[in-house]
Amino acid sequence: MNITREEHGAVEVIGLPQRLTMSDAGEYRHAIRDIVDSGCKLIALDMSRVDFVDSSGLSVLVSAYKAARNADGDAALFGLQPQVRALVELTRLHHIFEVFADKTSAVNHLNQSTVA
Amino acid sequence: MKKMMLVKLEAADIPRAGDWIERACISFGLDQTEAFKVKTCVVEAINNSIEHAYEGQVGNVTMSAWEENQQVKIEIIDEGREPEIREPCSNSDELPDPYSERGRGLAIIRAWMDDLSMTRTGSSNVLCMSKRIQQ
Repeated sequence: MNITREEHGAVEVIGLPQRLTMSDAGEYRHAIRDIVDSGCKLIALDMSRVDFVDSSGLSVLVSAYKAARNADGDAALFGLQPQVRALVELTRLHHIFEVFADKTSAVNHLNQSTVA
Repeated sequence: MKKMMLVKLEAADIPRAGDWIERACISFGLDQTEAFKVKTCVVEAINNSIEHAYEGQVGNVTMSAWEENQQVKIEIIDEGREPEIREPCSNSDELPDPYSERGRGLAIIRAWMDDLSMTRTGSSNVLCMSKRIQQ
């Protein structure tokens, strides 16, 4: 498994791998849920390395969103490559996630949500 | 020109099949964006074969791609169990709720390919799909 983690205030930035597909979707789903269960309820998913995602990979994103929301937190995406963005928009995941161009914007948005 | 790949697939092999089909599509004249869409649809189709026809086990999948009448034609054949659901969604409006964690594969194929059919022939599941090559 190939994820990275960075703390930015109350926000955990989780870097996802180049490919997010059926073969390892289960592992990533559990890993992100474990992060949320450990108390990181504001998560920014860094998609900048992801150049291919299938429907199982999309389900990892949805699972992460649900885990964060169930913990009274939130999740956001940033750094989507154009072709991945096209799939996110086709499947309307941008209706549930806030999507940002870069890490700073995503982290600021999530940190502000703790103030609100 | 017909290009064919016979692979005994498990989930970890699927990206390799996707890369192969993307290269084949570009050689037939699709641009990078359209070739990526076909790659995504082929990966979804093979995911379905492994998940539903072979119930997660390793199985043979034959994948063929060729250019015909300004279209890229793709055929994916497995010899697994007949899936319960063979009819695809009629349009992309039938994509599942964004909160759902399942059920997007066929809807993605329907939305991004120009044509899709799924049939049971003897002991094989045959999925055919095509994409127009824009001039």
